[in-house]
Amino acid sequence: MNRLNDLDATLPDPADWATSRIPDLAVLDAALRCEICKDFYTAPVITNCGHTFCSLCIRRCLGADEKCATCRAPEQESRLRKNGAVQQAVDAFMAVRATLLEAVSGIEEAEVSGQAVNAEEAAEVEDEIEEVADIPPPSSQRRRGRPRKKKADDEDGDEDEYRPRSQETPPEPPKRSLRERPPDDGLVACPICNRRMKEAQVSLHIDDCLAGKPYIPPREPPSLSSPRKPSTLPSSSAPPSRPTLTQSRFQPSSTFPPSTAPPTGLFQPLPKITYSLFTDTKLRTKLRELGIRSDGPKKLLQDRHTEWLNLWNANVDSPRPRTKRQLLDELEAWERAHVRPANNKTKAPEWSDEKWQEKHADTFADLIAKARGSIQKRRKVEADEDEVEERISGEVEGAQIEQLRSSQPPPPNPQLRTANSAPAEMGSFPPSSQTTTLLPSSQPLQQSSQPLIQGPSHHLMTYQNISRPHHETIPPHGAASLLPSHSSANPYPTRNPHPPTNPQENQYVSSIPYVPGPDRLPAEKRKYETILDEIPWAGPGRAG
Amino acid sequence: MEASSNLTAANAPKRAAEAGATVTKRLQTELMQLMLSPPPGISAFPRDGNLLSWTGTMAGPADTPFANLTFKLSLEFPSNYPMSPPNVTFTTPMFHPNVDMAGRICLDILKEKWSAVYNVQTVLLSLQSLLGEPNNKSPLNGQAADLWDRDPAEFKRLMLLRYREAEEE
Repeated sequence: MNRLNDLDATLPDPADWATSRIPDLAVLDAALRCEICKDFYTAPVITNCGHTFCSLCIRRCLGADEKCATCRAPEQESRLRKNGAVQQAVDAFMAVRATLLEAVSGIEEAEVSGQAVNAEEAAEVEDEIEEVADIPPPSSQRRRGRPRKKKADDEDGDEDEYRPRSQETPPEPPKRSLRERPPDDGLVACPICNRRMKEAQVSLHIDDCLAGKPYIPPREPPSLSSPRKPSTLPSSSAPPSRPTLTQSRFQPSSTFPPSTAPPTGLFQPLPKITYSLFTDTKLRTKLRELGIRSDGPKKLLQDRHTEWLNLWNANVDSPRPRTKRQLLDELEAWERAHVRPANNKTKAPEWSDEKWQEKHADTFADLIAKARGSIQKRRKVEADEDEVEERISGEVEGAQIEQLRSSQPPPPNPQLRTANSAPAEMGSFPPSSQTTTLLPSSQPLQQSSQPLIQGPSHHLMTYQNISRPHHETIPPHGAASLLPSHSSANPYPTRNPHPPTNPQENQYVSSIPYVPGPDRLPAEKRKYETILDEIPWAGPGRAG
Repeated sequence: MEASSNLTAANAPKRAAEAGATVTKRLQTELMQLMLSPPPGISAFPRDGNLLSWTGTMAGPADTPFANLTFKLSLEFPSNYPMSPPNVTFTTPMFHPNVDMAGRICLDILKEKWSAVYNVQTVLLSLQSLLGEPNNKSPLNGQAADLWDRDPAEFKRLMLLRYREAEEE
């Protein structure tokens, strides 16, 4: 439901390899990532100064500043060229990444399962490393390590461009059968890893092999990532794999209905225009011709047109172009994220206490009734809240004010107070109420310490935790309240049995995405938490 | 209540996931990298579960007046990050030629020299080196710039005085 949660779980990182048997793969992983978005290249293009970026990333950059993001050499969008080799390398690597990770990380798994890693298996592992570039993903032949496999599936779900290929993969690459009988190729096998090589190379290789380094075939040194180079290894020249890869890369994928997979020819690059030569009306007409929204002030029209050009031209560079419909959706998303000021230091324009009050009038009344039991407990802090109450009182209808005063000392918008308290403490900051919109809790009115009927209990916990720093002594400079400390003040209880607050309930009309706290990551990324525990300042003890 | 929240609910997750997806994804990647391979003397983490504002900590570089001290910073990311730089300020009171009394920092890579390839880690590393090598030609804090060259002992005294303020408050 919440896509960001999935995204979080499956976000691959070069550091994934750090704990594997071949940590150096992190370098390869990092080399296939765009410097700007830090993700794997999408439709990579190369600049004149020789730096490669995602098409969309560098186009957006050049829109802001006509310089290469890496070396600041002057650059123009029109001079960008597709970098097909990198695209192929990324595709090939992405296709095997999950499997490869599983293959090189399973030391303890193998021991647990009672099967020591025998020579055969080691050879297989290394085979796969060798063949990263040449084989399609071996689909489901490996069943070890369920979590990894699941991760791969999730990825497929998220990025459909990789799905088709893994489906078209032949179930069993022929390399398996090749290994069973020694091929008559005039090569000899390494006694340790069984890899076949020329006799003269064996003695050299054995040292490396014992040191755990992967065998690097001669004349093909570090090019694990280049699928074009023919492999010198007989086992990896598996004939069916090449056509499959090619087929799936260059044909519109079979999972798309024909109507949504237009041939690349339909997408022609759009030219830039000089906005100063366009009047408002002409620009509007232009946008309408392009089939995109044409409302708003001229600045917005320009920005929208620029972004459309970026999206469109980046799509032209992609080997798997998306449909115009999908691009329009992207533009919509961009619009939602960017209509607000570029630097969100300013207040969130959408926030309005009145609207909030209006929308939640029922909820307020509900909760007020439920909260009556907790009056005594709350009265102590009532004095603190006066200031905030005054703020509310303008908006709350008369009857409700009375109810609020008698039963609900905390303001209807506890985040507002909490979020503001930190910057205010720091003195140097202007109070920035826009932070309120960024907080994930969506039910600020559920202040009652009684169990609620409707809201799942995590709302309750969220409220209590968020408000705690406010009721307690705030440490100097708000330090502790600023930190996502891991114990009591943690807004996202680790052991929370309920799913995290979902953005569906987020009534703020905010375009800032809901972002899950690290504690909510699915089990796979629990490593975060252990890391967190080791960070000294992440605990509450170190404040100030 | 139920009905109204369901109505708005329909679009909410989509909106949340799509809007600024570039920013969130990029920041998540950065966070992962900082967590999994943390550089020495530097850490950063989103505060209040908000991925667009982080708290960073930075150890004062050795052989400078700032040695053995830890400084906290606030990083606010714009919605078009990394095309625009984050807004970085010291939250620990700071006495430094290129930092004003409100914690604002004068550093070219956070302004006109920003590049989209920079990230939290490079920014914090740059700031760390700025501590030891201030640019006294265009100071934000004239007194600090003056003392840095003329009277290092007094500089350190004032800096520590200000630093301790934070601890005592």
